[in-house]
Amino acid sequence: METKDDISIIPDEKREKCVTGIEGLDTILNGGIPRGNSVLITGSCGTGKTTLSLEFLVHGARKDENCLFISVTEASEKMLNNVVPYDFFDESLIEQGKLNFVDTPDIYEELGLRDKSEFSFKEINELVDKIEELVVENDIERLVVDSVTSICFQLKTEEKIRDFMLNLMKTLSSHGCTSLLVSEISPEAERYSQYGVEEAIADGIIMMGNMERQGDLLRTLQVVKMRGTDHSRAKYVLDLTAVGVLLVPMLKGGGFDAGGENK
Amino acid sequence: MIDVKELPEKLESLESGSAVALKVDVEAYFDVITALTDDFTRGKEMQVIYTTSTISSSTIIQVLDAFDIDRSKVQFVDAVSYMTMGVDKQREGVTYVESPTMLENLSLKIEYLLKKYPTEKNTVVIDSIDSLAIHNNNRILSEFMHILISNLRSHDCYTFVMSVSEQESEDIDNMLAMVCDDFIEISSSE
Repeated sequence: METKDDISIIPDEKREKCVTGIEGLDTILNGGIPRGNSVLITGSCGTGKTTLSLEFLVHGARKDENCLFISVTEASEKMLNNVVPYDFFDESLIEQGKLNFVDTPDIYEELGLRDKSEFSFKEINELVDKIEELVVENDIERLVVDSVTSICFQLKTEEKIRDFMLNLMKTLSSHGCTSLLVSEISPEAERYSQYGVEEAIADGIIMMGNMERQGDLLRTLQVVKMRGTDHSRAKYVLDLTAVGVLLVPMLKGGGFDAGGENK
Repeated sequence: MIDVKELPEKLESLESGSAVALKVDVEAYFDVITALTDDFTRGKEMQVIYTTSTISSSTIIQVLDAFDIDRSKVQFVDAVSYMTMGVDKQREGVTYVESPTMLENLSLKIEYLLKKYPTEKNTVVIDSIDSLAIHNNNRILSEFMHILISNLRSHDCYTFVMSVSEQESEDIDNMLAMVCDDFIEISSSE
């Protein structure tokens, strides 16, 4: 049992930050994501979750951090072809082993899970152990799982999802790995994650959305929660560009009801 | 009020980071565009980001070409061509915004160009506040101008906000007085 002397509480302002390299986001987060945090990047399709997550890794790799992208929903090669071509992307980062990609079908194959429609608790632990092995062996400091929702689809029950998420986040945090866990929700969803469990466990939630205003569709980003740092909770409009994700404050029109609606 | 021929000299006296409202007689409109994109930038390491919501970038480009003005340092943000279904192909040097109501996207495109083509000095032209006012509520437009100009100041950019004398409005004059450092009225020589 931990005694009072064993527990060290680090004040928020002293926690080391993982600078995302996404200028506007680092400003919103007061310097970056506290190291070791597991952050849910949540939103419906076309909101920029994958692009933002990949940029987070590219900036990390450029700063000599080892980074890993675990692709669940599509082959990483196809995903790379579809994202915005960054001016700052350097393919040698992949050759140098700074930027790594693993597709879950390969992991499932190795663990004998490929044809399973539902994972048992034991298999969930094996999956988390495999991710941990990848993190430890490659000394990974930044990780993206795109998406955890697709993994959770094979867990079926709330208990298993909770077990997986808790286990995964605890493991990643214990290795000081800062992770972005992509979560897909439907446009009508009134919560931040598909199963409701992920949002309660995560250290942070970055909500990405499409907002319709007078017939215009704007991409938005809002940091709903981030343990370990003060942060803005305002909504921002973003653009996915060759120089990276750009953010500006969403205009409010002095309280004028601009007819905005989240999609 | 100054004559349009005096404008280049007047612009030279501005400090970088200045935000200037230019109230232009409609006859002097193209002379002012020429002064901003050519006279003011000639011989300087300066990029012009020309944001248009009044007439399409292709029309302005035709005018600049007719006067044989070097466009290599001019980048356009065009917020009018999509709205008028006037974009059949992407044009080099032009970044499009779907509608002048997407004010945040105007800011984002300016920010993008500042990062994409870093130069020692930048000039941002907003052409025009009147046309933006047609499509946007005054309060949201004021908020936009306030945020945009504050941001451009932090980049040490010159910002020129154009308005047309013939479309004068007290609300817009008040808005410009609040966000700009200087106010220049320009008449045509002819």
